[in-house]
Amino acid sequence: MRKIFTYILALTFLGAAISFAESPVVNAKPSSGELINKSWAAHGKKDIEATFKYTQELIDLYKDEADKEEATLKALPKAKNEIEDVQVLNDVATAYFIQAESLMRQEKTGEAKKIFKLIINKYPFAQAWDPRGWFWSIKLASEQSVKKIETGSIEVEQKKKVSQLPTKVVLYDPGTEDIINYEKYGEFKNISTRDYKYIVKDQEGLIAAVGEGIYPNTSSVRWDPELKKAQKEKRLEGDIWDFSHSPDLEAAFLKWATASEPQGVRLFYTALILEKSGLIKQALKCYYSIVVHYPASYGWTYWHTPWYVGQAAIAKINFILRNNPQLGYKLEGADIKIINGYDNDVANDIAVTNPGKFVKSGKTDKVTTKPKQDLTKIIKRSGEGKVYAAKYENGDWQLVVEGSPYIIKGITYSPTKVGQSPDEGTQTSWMEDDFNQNGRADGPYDSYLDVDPRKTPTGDFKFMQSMGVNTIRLYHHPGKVDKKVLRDMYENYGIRVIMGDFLGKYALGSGAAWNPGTDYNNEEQKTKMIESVKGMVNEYKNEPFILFWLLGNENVYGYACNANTEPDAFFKFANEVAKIIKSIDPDHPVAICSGDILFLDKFGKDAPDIDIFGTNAYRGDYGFGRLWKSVKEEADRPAFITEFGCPAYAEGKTPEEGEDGQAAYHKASWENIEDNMAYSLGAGNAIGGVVFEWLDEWWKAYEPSIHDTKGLWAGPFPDGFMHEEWLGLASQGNGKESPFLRHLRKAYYTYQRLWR
Amino acid sequence: MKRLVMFLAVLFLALPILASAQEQATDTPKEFGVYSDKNAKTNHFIPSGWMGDYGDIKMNDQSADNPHGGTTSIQFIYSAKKTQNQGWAGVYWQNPANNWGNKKGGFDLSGMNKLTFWARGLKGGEVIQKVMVGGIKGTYPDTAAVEMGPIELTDTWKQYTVNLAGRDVSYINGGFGWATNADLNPEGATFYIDDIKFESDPALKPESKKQEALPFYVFSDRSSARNHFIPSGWMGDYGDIKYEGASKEDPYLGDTCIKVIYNGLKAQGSGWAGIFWQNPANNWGTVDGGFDLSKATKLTFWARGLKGGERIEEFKVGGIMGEFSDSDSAVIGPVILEKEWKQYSIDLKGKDMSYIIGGFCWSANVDNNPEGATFYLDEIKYE
Repeated sequence: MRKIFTYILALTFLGAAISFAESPVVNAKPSSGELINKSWAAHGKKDIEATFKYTQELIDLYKDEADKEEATLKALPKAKNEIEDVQVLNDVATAYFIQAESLMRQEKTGEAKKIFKLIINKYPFAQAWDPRGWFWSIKLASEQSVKKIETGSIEVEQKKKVSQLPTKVVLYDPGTEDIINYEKYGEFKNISTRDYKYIVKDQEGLIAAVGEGIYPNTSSVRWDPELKKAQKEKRLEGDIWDFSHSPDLEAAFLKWATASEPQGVRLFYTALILEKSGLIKQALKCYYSIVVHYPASYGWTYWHTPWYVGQAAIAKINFILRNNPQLGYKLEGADIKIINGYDNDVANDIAVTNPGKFVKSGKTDKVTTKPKQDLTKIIKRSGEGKVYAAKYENGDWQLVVEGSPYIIKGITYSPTKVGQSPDEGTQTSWMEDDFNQNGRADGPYDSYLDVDPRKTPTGDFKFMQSMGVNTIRLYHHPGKVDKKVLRDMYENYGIRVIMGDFLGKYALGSGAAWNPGTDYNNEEQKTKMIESVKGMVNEYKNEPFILFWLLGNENVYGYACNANTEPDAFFKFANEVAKIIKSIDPDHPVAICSGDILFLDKFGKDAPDIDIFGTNAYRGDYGFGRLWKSVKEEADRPAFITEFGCPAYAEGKTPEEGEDGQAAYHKASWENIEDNMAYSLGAGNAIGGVVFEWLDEWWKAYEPSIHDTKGLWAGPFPDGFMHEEWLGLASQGNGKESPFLRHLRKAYYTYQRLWR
Repeated sequence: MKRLVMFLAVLFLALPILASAQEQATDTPKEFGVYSDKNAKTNHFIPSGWMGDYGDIKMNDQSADNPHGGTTSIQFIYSAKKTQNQGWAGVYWQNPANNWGNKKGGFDLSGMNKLTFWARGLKGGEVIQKVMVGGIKGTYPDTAAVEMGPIELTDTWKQYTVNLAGRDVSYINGGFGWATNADLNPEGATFYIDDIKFESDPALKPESKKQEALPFYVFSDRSSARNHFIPSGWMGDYGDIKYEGASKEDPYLGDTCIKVIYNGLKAQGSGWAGIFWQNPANNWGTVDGGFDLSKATKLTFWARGLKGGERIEEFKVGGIMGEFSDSDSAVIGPVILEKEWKQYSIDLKGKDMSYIIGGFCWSANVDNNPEGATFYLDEIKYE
């Protein structure tokens, strides 16, 4: 997820343009990357002359090369490196695109359309990078623009690709056992080692016990009368992934149970559909079959990072058992550790598996096995100041603020007026926005509830305080920070600030150009980043609202920085920066903001002076799984989630159901954080989390005046897609009363119950 | 009604003068000839559809060398020289000649429920991979597609039958066909066919698949008639696969083994590739085929990697879904191959193996084989 500071885009281009302007004049042929940066910057500034100068220069210099690159492609490249292999093609097509967009802006629609059509016909495999975090097809964007020219609308028709008949799964063969006694049907070997195996001795018996669709029972589903029926009704037609979120649960079950996907993935989605259909026991069996038979299986996320299905299955089982105490079971001891699992390479993975065991849960379970806080003492402490992280004798971690444990109940606060967009350079600072000209910031102090007929100016700070928020996350650059607002927020509403520096992400602070971005081996750039961080610390270290310092924003994924290819250099540098911070300010700890657990092992090894591991994680509605335990094993640091969230929009659902889905996602996320806090039964190192985000931002799917429902990327959300403009716990209603109106969604009240 | 139409068609072609033969239609014909003797009036189809390495085929349709009936038989000499680089060849009898479904022709053979023919090899041991009735597609497709084989010929005449009971033979343009390949006949093959005809046999019942006897081979050796499935289902990055069905590089048993080179270059951008052994070839559940392997309790095969360490994600049997789906599936994997031959087994106990068109399958991906993988397979069989 790469949402939080995308507004830097316009500023970055501007910065790049300035740095180019200052460069000495040389006659060398400019790279296509340089020219595209200049083109975007000129387009951003609405400088039509410069836009056409740079784009045309790029096209003239690189068109032939682009044509050759296009000719080498048979399909849209998927992996990042493959996309970057045809960068000239991407830049040339982007140059045409910018020209067409510029013409559209000038209302020269006929000329614009010609260029869009040229792109569609000549460069179907070109892609451009969106700093929101993904590549986009220039051809598709061109098609949308053509449609916009022709129809005046950009709404993309979303065709239902698979059966939408609402059904529930009716099992033909539910199996003979609810909890499988695997010892009866085979033998577990080498538990908790890399040579773990379950050897089936009585396959027939196991097939009968597990029932339909669950490994190794692949027979029953083919006898299921529903299969023939669904085939006859053509309800099984369509792409298997479109079934994952279809209301035709019967068809989805049949489709997945007979799918040719890798076994672990097949079983996970089969289980998911059983779970959705309310067949909880069957779902548990199905999830557990992954742990037993396919613990090392993996799938790939949209971002092409490995997704370890066995670990996810254990998380799902724990989630289901937690929410269904009537089942009376718990899963004890189950764990799948993937050695070398913190990189993007699955070839070197080694799974160490303990399938654990389902045991009856009894009254004694409520008594924790861990000693209470007052019986333990601190054995390690980061920092001597008023804020520090403490490790207790039992190995658990807590954040301590002024002598008391502090749970980060955080939220990302970035209220943006409807119609504003950083893409168009129109976004203003929420700390300075004063559209009603009453001398105070609109969002924080003047917002009101949709249900309040008198529209009483109440303010987000008040709403957040009522919700239980005690922290927001903020970066000191590139926008301006108004200390007075933050002081007031702390003094009157009790909300502190995690203050961050991007540490070279999006080329911020390093002085590097967007392309190729920050290089963590470049001494000059490192010096600049250190100066940026020093500036932040010196500016704010004495402010009472500071909770601690945060370095980066999922730099490990790369994008205008090379932390993805040089993770050791990045973490070592971050560690140096942490040491410098502490030399200036011993009062506040230092945290990193990483991307899920990518390169976690390198963080543990390279960054011993960073006190807290923070990470952006979007793992679905059942918590964060093994994340906490992995941090404990690899780094032994307290951990918190720097971003997590879920859209309140889901295709095919009512607004009410959409809010329900969002609320359920947040509830499960927070309960999982709680389950892993000190003195809980989990990993004991969770110190809280930062919800993404307070308010819907309407610019994220490109049209800042429209509340887009576009699914921007596939992910573990209620309808399988991320709808970026619907992540707020509060909405802006129909947008007409922006930036003041607030509709508080169900998730807001969920947190009120959980946090207060 | 269909019978009437067919009969009229026969009369029209054979005796165009006798136009008003309606009353004769009450007599259901008992047989309908494809070929009996050179220039016989009962020959209704022409052996015009030469396929594959057509340059490897020589045909003498008036061979007087020991015909089965009458005065001539058809002699085929298949050289296996791969003239067109296909590795296989065959001939369809069509009506009219060279009709690949692009024009209306053929016959309504309703009422006929089997095709019989006689065949012999010059030496004995020649293998016809399969014989076909119908199966020509195009604008005017045959209403049935039935295959039978493989057939290992003897040096004396023997009659073979293709059961058509229960099949819709209301439009058949490809009256008969044979196909074979160089793997099955590395030195080529000379064989004779005679007295090909459709027959009506009231006692014949629709063929229910017989339970195959074990062991039942997917692949034994390249020229073996015991190979029952065809490695036709190339999946994923099929451009990354090089398949050698007759590698002599240290086979586990016999003269040859299968060698697969997967280069992992993502020719189609998928990141994975695999091959399904199917029956008939290219059957993704679209045609009735396959075998009843109900007696099988396991599938075994031998495998080795060129270097050792090659990772195959899945070895699988069954699992093809379509109008004619496999009755079940079973999988093992991932399997890390060793440099030496090792036998692997897929447990089929408790599985419904009554209808299997996807006899065997492997799949591998580039994630776990960044440099690709070269591996060998041998002796793939149901036991």
